[in-house]
Amino acid sequence: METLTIEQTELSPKVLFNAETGKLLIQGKSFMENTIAFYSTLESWLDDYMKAPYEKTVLQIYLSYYNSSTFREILSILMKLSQLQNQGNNVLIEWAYDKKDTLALKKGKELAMLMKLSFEYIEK
Amino acid sequence: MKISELYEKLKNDRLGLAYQGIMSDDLTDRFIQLSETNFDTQEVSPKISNKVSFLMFECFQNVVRHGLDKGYYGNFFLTRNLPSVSYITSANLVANNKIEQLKEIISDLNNLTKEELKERYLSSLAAGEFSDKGGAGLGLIEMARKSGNKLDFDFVPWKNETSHFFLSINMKTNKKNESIPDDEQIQLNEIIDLQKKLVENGIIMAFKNNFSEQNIVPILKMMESNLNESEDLAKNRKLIYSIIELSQNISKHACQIEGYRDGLLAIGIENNQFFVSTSNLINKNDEDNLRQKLEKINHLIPNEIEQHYLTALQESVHNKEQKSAGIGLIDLANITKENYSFEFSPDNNSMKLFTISIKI
Repeated sequence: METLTIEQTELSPKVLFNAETGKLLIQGKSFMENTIAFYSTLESWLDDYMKAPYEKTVLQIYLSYYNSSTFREILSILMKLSQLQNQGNNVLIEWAYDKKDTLALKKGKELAMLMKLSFEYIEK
Repeated sequence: MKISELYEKLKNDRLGLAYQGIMSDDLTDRFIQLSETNFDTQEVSPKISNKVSFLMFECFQNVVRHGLDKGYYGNFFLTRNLPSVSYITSANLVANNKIEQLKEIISDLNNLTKEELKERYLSSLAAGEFSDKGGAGLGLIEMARKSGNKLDFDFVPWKNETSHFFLSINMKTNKKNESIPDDEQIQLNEIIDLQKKLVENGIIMAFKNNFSEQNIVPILKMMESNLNESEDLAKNRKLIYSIIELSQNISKHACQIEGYRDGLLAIGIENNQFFVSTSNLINKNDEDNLRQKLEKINHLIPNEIEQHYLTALQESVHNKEQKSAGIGLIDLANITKENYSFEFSPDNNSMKLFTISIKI
């Protein structure tokens, strides 16, 4: 399965989803108006990945600027990963945030409250 | 001054941008980028657009090079693109004992004919007349030449033996080069009054435009240069999130008039707190629904607001296409733990001017 690579722009994050290693990364800014269009690409990739996933999937999310609909899309991705976990796969969410960025930390903890997934918080 | 009053003041502006604070070459580029994008959509000829960009560059360079103050209200920049004319104004602090000299230089330039200006430019260039900070009078000469108008200027006393040196130029941008209609004529004293009101109300940036995701980027860059990242990163990020969210409310929900989703964004500081306000026209029929949502948010206590947000977030995943989930407004209250102030002012029969503010 091909690695999903999307370059970062001023409005949208860098995406690097590698099926060979199970390492998935969303990093940068995410405040494009049409979040659905952007994140649907990621969800489609995940749908394929879930057919033959790596033994452990680690999603790292590291965002500085975002809009509210980004969290809706991330929650949607987390729901997919939750399905993966329910199928008996190992899933970890690494929530990375800049030192002192307690807002980003709060946003991670909110998402963790909604999902039965393991979250690790990484201060950058 | 209420934000809705500021909207009324800038109502005819296709682009209105007032900024107070730290200025850099990078910010000058952002101003120019916004202006050029705006001219593009107005189908102003590239030749005129380039001239205005040049004038903005020279005008702002003057401040970047010579401005004395690094605080919020030391420097002021304004660009207003009206349908047939563009105004560019800068203000920076100068020592009061330099005023007479500056007055002489500019008055002298204003008395020169087009030909004389050209001669003065060439002779200054040849003589290498640069001040110790670089640049010197050449910029002023070029501004007078390119605009084809007199340089408008004034000095307004500030504090500590300094004054704001206002410098303003305008350029006709309509295709036929017709005279400027009365309602588009703005005198320098009106601009000075606007700056005074912005200072009084703690507004560090006001942006009136057709809102889109692209033109928010330069605004965020401008704010970044005024924010000290090491000071309170979380507060800064909350401010940026609020700017993004309220701006995108305009681009998603404002009434479209002649294809534009016009709105005003104002960012300021009051009692050591930032505030973000927006004003835009909405359909009159949307008022009740929006009012109810905001009143509901304002009535929630801080402990309830997070739960309200999480419930709304979960529901939104299943209703992605639903446009007015209002989740952003809930989340801003969730992260700031502040109430919204908002108003709906009558505009005309079918629309209302909706103004909303949140403190950070």
